[in-house]
Amino acid sequence: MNEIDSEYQDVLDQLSVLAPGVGDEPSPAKMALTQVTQRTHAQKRNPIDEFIRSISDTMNKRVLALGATAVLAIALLVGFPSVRAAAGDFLGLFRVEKFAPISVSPPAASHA
Amino acid sequence: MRQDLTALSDSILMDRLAGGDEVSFDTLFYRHYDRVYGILFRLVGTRAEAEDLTQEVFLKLHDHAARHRSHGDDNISAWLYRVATNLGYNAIRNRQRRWQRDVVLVPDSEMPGAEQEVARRQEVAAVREALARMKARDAQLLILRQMDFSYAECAAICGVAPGSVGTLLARAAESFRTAYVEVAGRGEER
Repeated sequence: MNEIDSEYQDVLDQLSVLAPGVGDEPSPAKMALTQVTQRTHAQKRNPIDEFIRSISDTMNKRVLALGATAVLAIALLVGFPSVRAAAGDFLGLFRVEKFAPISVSPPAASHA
Repeated sequence: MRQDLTALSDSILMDRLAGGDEVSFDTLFYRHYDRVYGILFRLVGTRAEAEDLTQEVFLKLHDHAARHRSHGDDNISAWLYRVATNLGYNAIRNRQRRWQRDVVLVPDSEMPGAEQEVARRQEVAAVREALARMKARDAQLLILRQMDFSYAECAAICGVAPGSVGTLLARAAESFRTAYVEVAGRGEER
């Protein structure tokens, strides 16, 4: 070892029990490479999967960035009194201010 | 005449792979296969799972090449070993959540040296569980250092300053000792 590991050499020694033992050696590299290559070819043959994977990697970041920008923009706009008043007027369209009770009886309902 | 690719740097091989040269991928694979498998075996402990995860790591490398744009100072091996340690660490953390950590295969009691083998397997399980309880970066640093990765390599893989690796390793070792005592103490209570 190039560096002095004396402070934690005991821990490194303890971790050495995790090293591959007899029978734990990996498959020959050539065989493993063949399997990986087959999988890369299989992925290439399915362009839809390839497309979904490629966009999903970039989409997550873009969606998050867009969402954060939209929230920030709305927060800033609502800070202006005129925009806040306009938003209040707009929401007022959906607010129930007057209502009148109507009576419904079973005979009236059957005529309808 | 076919060019000898083994003399080329990882970064150049990635550039070539991004350009569609699949032979460059083979060279990268042969260059890093043993170490990637070594990291993953140490973390997950079974040959089958380590081989599966090794394949995953190289599939990610292949995908990564498609998006690779050379910057000249790319540290591809650091990226590769970072992916390997993350996958391996996540695997043991998930296993811990599924309460599979106590599974220790017991050899036939008639087998010569069966007791020592049971003790060895219990020790391996306890060490692995202690690693799973630690912070990811601490566990990764210890595994890498145990495999003789240099301080500079450890720093590049874990994304820390090279000058801080010694201190971080000392802290990681302390954290391991604490976790191991808890795990071993719980084992003795049973």
